[in-house]
Amino acid sequence: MNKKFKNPFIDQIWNGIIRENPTFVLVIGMCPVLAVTTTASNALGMGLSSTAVLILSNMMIAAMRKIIPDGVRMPAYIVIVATFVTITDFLMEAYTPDLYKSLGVYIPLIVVNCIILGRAEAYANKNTVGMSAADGLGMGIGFTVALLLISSFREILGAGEWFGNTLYTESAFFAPIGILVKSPGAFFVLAIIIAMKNKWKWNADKKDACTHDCLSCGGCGTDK
Amino acid sequence: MDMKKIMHDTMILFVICIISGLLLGLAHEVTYPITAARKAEEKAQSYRDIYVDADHFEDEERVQALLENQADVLSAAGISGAAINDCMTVYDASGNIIGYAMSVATSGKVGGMVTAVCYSLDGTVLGVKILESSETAGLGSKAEEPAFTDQFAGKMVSAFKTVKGAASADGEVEAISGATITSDAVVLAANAGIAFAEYCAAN
Repeated sequence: MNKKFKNPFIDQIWNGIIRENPTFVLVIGMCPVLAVTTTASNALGMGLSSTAVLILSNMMIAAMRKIIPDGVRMPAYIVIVATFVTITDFLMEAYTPDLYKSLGVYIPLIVVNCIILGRAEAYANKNTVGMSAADGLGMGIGFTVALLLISSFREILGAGEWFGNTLYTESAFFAPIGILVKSPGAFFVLAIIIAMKNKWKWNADKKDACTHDCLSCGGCGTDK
Repeated sequence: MDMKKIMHDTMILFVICIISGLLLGLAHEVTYPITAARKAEEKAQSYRDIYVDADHFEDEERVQALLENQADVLSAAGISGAAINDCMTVYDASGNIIGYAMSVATSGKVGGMVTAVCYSLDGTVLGVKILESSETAGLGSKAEEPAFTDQFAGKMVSAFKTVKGAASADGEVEAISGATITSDAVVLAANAGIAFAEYCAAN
């Protein structure tokens, strides 16, 4: 869980997927997490388009970090992110109409996804373009994986389908749990996954705690 | 914060906005013709899909002139909030006029909707198809599915209306559960088309 990689780029990607997963660890960008995870294909679409915008906006904001004055950084970030989202929207509508048809409704929502603004503020405005791109990629993958995980639970258990393919129908043994595909189901699944993650992290930290030289490590930051 | 810094920050934000605006304009300029051409092709294909008996579609001058009176025609029929974007005349193989194909703009729950509707000369609805909509996924978006649009096909009525629950009469359309406003928007488009198709046939 707290694994470190020697290559800083890979480490930054790993950071986004596991250590600081935006959904399960940072718990930001909750609105799309709750809203679009009714089916796995919606979740995949939202995750991938957010990833593209995250990488581009992170790179652009990192490149301009010395130009943008501190006092107006928020409006500047929003203008940059909104520009990228709208250009992506235009390009997808013109060149990939089929993809646009299935994702079209989610693209404008990306502007207000706070993962993007959050990473601009917390990471991209103090780091190089390359590292910020790695951060965007890692956070994007982390977000996509989280959306896919939640939506798979909801779609499989709640509707008996996965990516729109019927897996099973109602029988004497098990009927799809209808509430999982409704709004409360999103909260249930999210809560259960975060609880399981915390339990796992807690156990992993306990096991890690004394495998190092305890005299010199100052407690390893895992003194739970 | 002194005046100089305020001016400096404002200028930088201003420049960022100008550059963003230029980039957006450029992207729109490049992609708009492609998108518009594809939409026109999709519309033509929708007309062909709905009106299977048609041989060809044409912009007839008589109908284009009639389109200018559409506001009066629609208000006389008691319809507001709908506009006929275009109306093409449908011909059979021997060149006789057999009906009209039009795209009608109405307002859905989320934004504007454009619906393609085709009529034969006696006023029978051949079918409807949603061309443009940004309705809520999973609710209003169900209006695009055949389960909803098939309710219009083959009906000859003076006006449709939505009902909650199963439709019992010919002019009734079962509204999509949870998306009554979207259902009403499609019904309004079909009704506007009926009024205009009658006007075209009579003039």
